[in-house]
Amino acid sequence: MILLHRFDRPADGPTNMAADELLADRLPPGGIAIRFYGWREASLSLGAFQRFDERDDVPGLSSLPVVRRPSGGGAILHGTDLTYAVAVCRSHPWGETTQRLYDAVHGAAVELLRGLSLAPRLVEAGEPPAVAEREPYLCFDRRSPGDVVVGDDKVLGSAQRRHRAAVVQHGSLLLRRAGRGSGIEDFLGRGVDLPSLCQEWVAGIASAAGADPRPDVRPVGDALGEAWSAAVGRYRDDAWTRRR
Amino acid sequence: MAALKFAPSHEWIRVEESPAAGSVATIGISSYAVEALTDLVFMQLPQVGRRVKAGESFGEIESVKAVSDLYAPVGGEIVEVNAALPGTLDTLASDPYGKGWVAKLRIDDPKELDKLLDQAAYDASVGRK
Repeated sequence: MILLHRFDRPADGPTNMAADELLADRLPPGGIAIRFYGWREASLSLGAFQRFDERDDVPGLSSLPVVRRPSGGGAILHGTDLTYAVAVCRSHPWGETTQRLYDAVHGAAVELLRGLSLAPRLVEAGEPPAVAEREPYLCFDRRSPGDVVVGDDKVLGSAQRRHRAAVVQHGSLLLRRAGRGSGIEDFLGRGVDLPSLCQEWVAGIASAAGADPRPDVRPVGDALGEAWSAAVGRYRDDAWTRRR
Repeated sequence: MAALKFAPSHEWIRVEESPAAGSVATIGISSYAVEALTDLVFMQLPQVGRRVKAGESFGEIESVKAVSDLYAPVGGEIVEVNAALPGTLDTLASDPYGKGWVAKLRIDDPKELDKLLDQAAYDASVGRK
């Protein structure tokens, strides 16, 4: 089995979402593909059904460029994180249930962070939420089983879009302080080399999957023609961004 | 009551023949799928009057970690939706084949029902005896 992986240049929200969508559409049969990326400028991504107007209730969000993800979960303030999208065929064992893919990618992240001398752990079922009362708007203020925390701070959260043929999981590894929490570079007191970090993360995921990791050198962007322009257009469409 | 049929994507369908309305099918989500989704938080129902093809996404459901598409088992026109369901998502787990129905659809081509699984075949496909 093949695990394709790539580390892309920072892009804007619609471009990133389109690239993730096409990652799933171009999956090798039975395989896995993962894409790591950054954002051209500080941006906000909303979960598939989050209320657009509620971002006004959180200081500092209203002025940011916004894109809506097809995946669920809470809003993410991008710019000080490493974002990933992993696509898995539904026929793959990791595609069968929500938790299996979540645990596989997050389990590899825990090992990765331990290798950096951090003390991460996975949130367990039944743990009380870090922020009480109603569900927080921001992903990193939420807690759910399988989230990766260091101390009391969530450093990795993910959410999925489950299609008939493939599952796409979006996730964000917090590098530097954003809002209440600290990122891994804050804990380390230094920067990390992102391409190397991604390589090690991929190696851990590939090992867990029993897969052969290979660089994904296929072209993206305009080379994909109409499929690309249609996907970017969907994520630029205000009707999608403000759907709720 | 008519027997249930199932799509591999975990939607169930029950067809009621009505002289006035023709073949109208009730559609819902299998108990297996509901259990697998866990912790449901939001549901997007289709618009009444919308036409869908077999296999086309007609709604979405969100759990704590995932959004899943709902696929039409057969093609037709949405004639009614369970408007109370998004506010009572627990019903999907407590009564998935009754009060947890999602939508009713007037079927275009009853032959499409022949491509669906009966209860025994569906149960076998998800590892339930």
